[in-house]
Amino acid sequence: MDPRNDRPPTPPALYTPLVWAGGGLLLTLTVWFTGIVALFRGFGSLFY
Amino acid sequence: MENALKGWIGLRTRARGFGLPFFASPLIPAALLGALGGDERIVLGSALGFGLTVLAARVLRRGRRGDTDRAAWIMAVGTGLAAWLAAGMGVIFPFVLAAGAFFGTRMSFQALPETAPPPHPVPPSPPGPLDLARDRLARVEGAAARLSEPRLLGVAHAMESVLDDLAERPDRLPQARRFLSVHLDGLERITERLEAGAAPPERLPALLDELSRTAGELRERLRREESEALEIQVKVLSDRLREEGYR
Repeated sequence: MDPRNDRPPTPPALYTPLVWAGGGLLLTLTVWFTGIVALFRGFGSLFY
Repeated sequence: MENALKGWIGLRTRARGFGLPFFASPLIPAALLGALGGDERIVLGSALGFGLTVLAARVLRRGRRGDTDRAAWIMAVGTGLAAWLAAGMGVIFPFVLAAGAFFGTRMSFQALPETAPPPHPVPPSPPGPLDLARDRLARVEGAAARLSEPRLLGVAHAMESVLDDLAERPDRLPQARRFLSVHLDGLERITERLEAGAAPPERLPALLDELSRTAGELRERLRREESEALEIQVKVLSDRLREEGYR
């Protein structure tokens, strides 16, 4: 295999930061949201 | 623009995975409050959720091929368990949140380079017959030293010399295989008996001398055969040169 004949790796798409932002948003809406709900439930468990 | 993106990718690659536990950080006070309130499900769900997030971060930090997917699955399981146990969201909704965490993790770490997994370690090759014979001889030598039997030690040394010769000419090994098995087996058995406390019979010194002598003879024979092979080689080459008209 001659590396000179290999195609150069495709550069990352320019919209990649948008995908990252979407991922961060999804993580916030799911993981963070779950944590906050658990936090409120934990707080509620002190009184009920 | 492309260079800026590459630089950004480099930065994100270096910091990859550090941010994940921050998303799950509310689970820590939730676990504390759950413990204070005596709700074990909240404590368990929060601990599992945060623990699996840390594990996912560790997997991401490794940065091998497929680690982003693995981390995404771990995040999905952690989030689903936390949503089910700690947040008390029923049965269906945790699956939705788990799917969100899975795709969120995959999207967050898209386009970051992953290295190839390390090659499988090559298992060490099994010891050859010479190595095995050397090990056995070393045991015999150790026993001979303990028993203060100089003749036994002498035989072991003589056999070791044969092994040294064979190591230099491994192609001669088949000729010495029988010697190795018969002599070495015999020597080992004698050593075992002596170590077990047996009184050495009168014929033992003669036998040990015989073993030393045959070891020497074998060395001599191997050397002679080597010399004969060289002589044949020289003769063949001389004839060839003569035939070709060089001599």
